[in-house]
Amino acid sequence: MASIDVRGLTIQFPVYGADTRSIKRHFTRIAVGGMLGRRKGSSLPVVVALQNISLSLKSGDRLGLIGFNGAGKTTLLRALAGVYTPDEGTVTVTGRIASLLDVGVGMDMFATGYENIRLRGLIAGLSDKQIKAKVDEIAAFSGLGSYLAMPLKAYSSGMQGRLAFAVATSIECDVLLMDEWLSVGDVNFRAQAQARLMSLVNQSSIVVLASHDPTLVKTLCNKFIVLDGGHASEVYDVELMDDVYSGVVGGVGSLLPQPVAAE
Amino acid sequence: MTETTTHLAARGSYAVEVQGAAKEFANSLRGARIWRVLAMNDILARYRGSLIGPFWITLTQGAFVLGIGLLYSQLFKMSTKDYIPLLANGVILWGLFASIILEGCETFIYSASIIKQTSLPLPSFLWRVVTRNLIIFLHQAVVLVIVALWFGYLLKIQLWWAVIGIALGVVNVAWMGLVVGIICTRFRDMPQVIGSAMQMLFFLTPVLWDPKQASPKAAALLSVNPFYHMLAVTRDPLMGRTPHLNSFIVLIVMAVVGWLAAFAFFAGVRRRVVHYL
Repeated sequence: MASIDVRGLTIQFPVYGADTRSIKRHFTRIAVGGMLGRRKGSSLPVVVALQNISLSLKSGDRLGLIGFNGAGKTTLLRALAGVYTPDEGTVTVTGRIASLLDVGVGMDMFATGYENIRLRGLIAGLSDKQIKAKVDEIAAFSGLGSYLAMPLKAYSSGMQGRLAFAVATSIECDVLLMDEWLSVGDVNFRAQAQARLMSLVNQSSIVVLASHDPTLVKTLCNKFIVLDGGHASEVYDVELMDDVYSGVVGGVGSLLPQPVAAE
Repeated sequence: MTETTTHLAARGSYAVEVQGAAKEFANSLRGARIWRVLAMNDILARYRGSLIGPFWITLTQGAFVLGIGLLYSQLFKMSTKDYIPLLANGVILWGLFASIILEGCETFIYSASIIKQTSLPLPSFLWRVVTRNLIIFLHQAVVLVIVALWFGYLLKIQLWWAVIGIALGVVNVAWMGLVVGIICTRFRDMPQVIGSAMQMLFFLTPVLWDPKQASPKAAALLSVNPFYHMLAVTRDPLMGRTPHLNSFIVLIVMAVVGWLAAFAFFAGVRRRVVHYL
């Protein structure tokens, strides 16, 4: 049984700006700022991207994440994917996780389509055997035919998008993390892509989708939360979507998380 | 179907962090396929569109050894029979050790897009750098075989000592690569510093010259240079001489102490590496 359990999750980004990233500055700061007192990097600004988020999802849940830019949607997805470790709280995910955060991750412009399928598959955690079993299907779906033996740089950007999409959506998973609905390719491809993405969503036990499109969340999800400046609302039933969304958009709320100096 | 559960918690006591770091190392070794393929792909990427592929490394190294060898043997008043094997082994072994450290600077920066999208264990990217350079070394080893054949000491090569020596050297530069990899990700001006340091070390280490020509004072200086010991345990057996035990002991101690320190450092900062990127 797939499940997601998030408790009191806080994630902060220390901002290593252009001036704090140089070791010379680091040392002058220590020297100028009075030795040990500042050594912990007290002047380092911190963005609190998520604050005290708790969330519990079980099989069959489809959660929509709603919120403005900088509200913490992608950060939450990445935290679920295990990219960021919590600064406070815990994240427990049972089941194989697949994230469609950046479909192009690990693609090599100079490698051929087939090599890219293998690379991408490995990064997604597939075994050679699993990749071999999927190659034909991916190749067929991408519709790229003999182009697959050529390096990616020979592709149009639309073709690259098709390949990336075909590979990224070929995985089987229990927990699917999506940052916006993917839309690639020309008119013909788009319809196929939608169908494929839908079937991936249907196969997954749990789906978490971050989106700016309320209609999409309404059709795909059964629950949603609103993120605002790193804070999460309670989990709403998707039927309340219209009310809440108009409230959010109309409301003054929605502050960007402001950088603060760590104490 | 096997259930996989991933559990991530906030920073705990240092003991907990050490445990987490150990787990990350263990996972990186379990997922060896990923870094092996990434390393292979790095090599392929470098030589795509080239006719003889990675053997360019062999060819350029060969030309370098021949060119420098002919001139420097004159400068050092050594016979080419003595000097060229010394030079060829020196340059190629130095290349292996130095480039793991130099490319180690980019360990995490180079793999940033993967690190920012997946939960692959961080040491995987260090192993990627090490593996890539071992593959390059194997290509260059062709030059060493040719030199050994030409000067007639091929059968005297003490292969097992050499393998042990290379392994010891690589284990040592690997922890150095991890440390500089983290520091260079945090402080983006460090790669230049490391680059200059390695350049200076190149001249302080008997790569182009014979350590036997060193005066006692210079020999004392050499004995505190870790790269001198790395060369000693690898070049001597490759040239058919039995290596000194001293250098092995130095390297073993350095590997243990170095890895403990590097691991302790990694355990402290591993959570932040993704934020440095």
